[in-house]
Amino acid sequence: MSYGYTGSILHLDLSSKKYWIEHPPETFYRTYWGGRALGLYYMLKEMKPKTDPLSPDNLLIFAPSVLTGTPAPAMPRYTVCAKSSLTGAEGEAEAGGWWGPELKKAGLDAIITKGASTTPVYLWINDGKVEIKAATHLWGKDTGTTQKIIKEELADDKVRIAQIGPAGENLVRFANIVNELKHFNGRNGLGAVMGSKKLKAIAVRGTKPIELYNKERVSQVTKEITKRVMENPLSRDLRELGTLAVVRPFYEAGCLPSYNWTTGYFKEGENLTAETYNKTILKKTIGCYACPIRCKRVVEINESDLQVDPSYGGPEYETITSLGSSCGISDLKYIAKANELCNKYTMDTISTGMAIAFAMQCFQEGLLTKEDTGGIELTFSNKEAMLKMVEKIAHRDGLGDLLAEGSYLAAQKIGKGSEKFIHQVKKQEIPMHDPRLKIGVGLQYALADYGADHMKAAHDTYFKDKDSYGIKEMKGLGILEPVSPTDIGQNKVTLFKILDTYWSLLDTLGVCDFGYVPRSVGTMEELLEIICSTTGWKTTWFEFMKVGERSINMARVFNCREGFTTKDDTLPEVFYQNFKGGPLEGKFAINKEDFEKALKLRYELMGWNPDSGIPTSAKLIELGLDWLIEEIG
Amino acid sequence: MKIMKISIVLEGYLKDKYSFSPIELNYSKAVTIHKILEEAKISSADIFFIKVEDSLVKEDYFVRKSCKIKLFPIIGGG
Repeated sequence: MSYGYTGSILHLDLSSKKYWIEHPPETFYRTYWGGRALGLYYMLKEMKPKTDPLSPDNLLIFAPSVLTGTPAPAMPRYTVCAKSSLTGAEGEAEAGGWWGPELKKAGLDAIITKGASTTPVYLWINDGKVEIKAATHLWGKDTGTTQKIIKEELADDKVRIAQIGPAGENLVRFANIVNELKHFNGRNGLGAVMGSKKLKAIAVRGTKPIELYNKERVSQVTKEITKRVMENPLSRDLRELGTLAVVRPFYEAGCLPSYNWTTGYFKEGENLTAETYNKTILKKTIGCYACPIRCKRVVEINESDLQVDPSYGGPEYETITSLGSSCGISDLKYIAKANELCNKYTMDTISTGMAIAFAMQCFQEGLLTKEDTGGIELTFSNKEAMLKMVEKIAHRDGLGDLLAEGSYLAAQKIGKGSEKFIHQVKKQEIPMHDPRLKIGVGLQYALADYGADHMKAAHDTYFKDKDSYGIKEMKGLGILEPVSPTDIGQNKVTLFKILDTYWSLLDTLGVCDFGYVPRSVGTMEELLEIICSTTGWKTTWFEFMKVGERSINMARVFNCREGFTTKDDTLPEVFYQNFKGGPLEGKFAINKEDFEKALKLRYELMGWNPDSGIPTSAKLIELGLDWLIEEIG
Repeated sequence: MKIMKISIVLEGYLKDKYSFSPIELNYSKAVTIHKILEEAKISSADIFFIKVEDSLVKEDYFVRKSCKIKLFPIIGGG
């Protein structure tokens, strides 16, 4: 088998409790590499269209990749895929932490689960040995308690555990999956799929080394990147301020998503800045497997009326905004508490925050009453109410049961014009970067196969100037000229086709976007060197970009056969309006006609029919995906 | 001739990269932000937002009186 891989994929049927190990040939790995592409391969091969996401016929796939677990920086990641319970489209989320590398060391390149157990179970994988263990005693328990019990049962503190909390068990449509309490396969409701299979956790222990073709060269490149991580302001900023670094610029510019996207102006924004966070609630920063950047936050609060357990990490930017300013809340302690609850119960903080913000707006507009909320005064800025709603959603209690369906379905049920208060793409709630100032981000929101996602491509800001970091470092991909962040012309569309392909590749390889250009200091040349030295394959960026393109097209085909069309590649209406309030008042509305032209051009650049958005047969043949031609008719 | 005192405040990783904050420059006549950045040796590539007092401006903005200029760095996702 190729270096960097174990050569083994576990297939497990939770209905029959039978499993088998597949040993794919090298050509399979050379074509799909791992991560999202490997997951999509099995979803397309083994799942019928129109499968109910919460039925036993949905697959739930855990796929690290060739680079997962190498000692190089920012390579701890693995993908979880399934048909999403929130969107009904391709569902996918990547996570860092420690679980992915442990699975590789345990001797597996992926786990493909299907079926559903009749009683709760957890999977125990110990250096290649597979056991299905009873988990009835764990069902209903939060993630911290579950992790403790499993480690005690298995008598090994070094076991790594990926699991769901009560929200996943309760099939909250945006429930997620966590490993080691702090690292999330965050979006798309993959935790609900896991809950539907009554699969509580997957515990992994591995002691086998991951074989590298040229260990010394990988080690050398690692040292070079690590040295620069310590020296470079961009990566030091990630450690010092984390993703919270964006709060101050957004708040001062007046584009911090606030009050359910009704304004970008949040008067109390100073309370949410990274500097305030560091002074008040931050305990320490931590990293993922072998990563020197250490961008993750851990917070602790020990007050008489509110405590936050540092075991659950700490809120990042998206959480600060979705559960903070989007709900009109500026108290970091309450936001940290909400984050802790979401992490204990396993819920996507973006969707949770946006669902609550939606409900708050409905309440303020009189579309929901205290009778609907169970007596809660669900107004913007009511931080106690926000915390109560987090609990109610996780446990599907009262109004929480409705919001647990996601804001899109909740609005369908509430009616009365509440639909205009939701902000989603493909039923997934919009993340917290305003595309009116970064239109490429907007293109990606509209086009992302799995619903609006801010991590589908690098952001426009890295390419705005001839001296921009992205322009200087990514010329090898044909990125030669700067493009303004608010440009929506052909140069922007072309740029983002390249960036989408590049980040899809990173998601296929198990690489964190925070480790490499343009977000951080690792270069494209170093990435290539690491891959060649890991696998022994003589490969190039040409092959890599084809790998990225392959996964995008596979996801597109999956969605086409589920009935998604170009009508689903949209932006919420709010972005076609000017900013309201603050320094950006009256400016920066995206021109809808220009945006739709940009989408059409993007389809053509991808080799898709410009009217239907469906990949052409020629494009599929070019990418070795001719076996998908019959899927698109 | 009245001298304009321009105070530059750097936010985020700009503080680290340019190793100073604030910096003060003096001008005897109106000057663009672009010129000020050039003289302070701060690259436009690193700047996303510019604020002059409470207003957001672009690099072609003419500064005509003493003021504080805040520079905010480029922002990625995460």
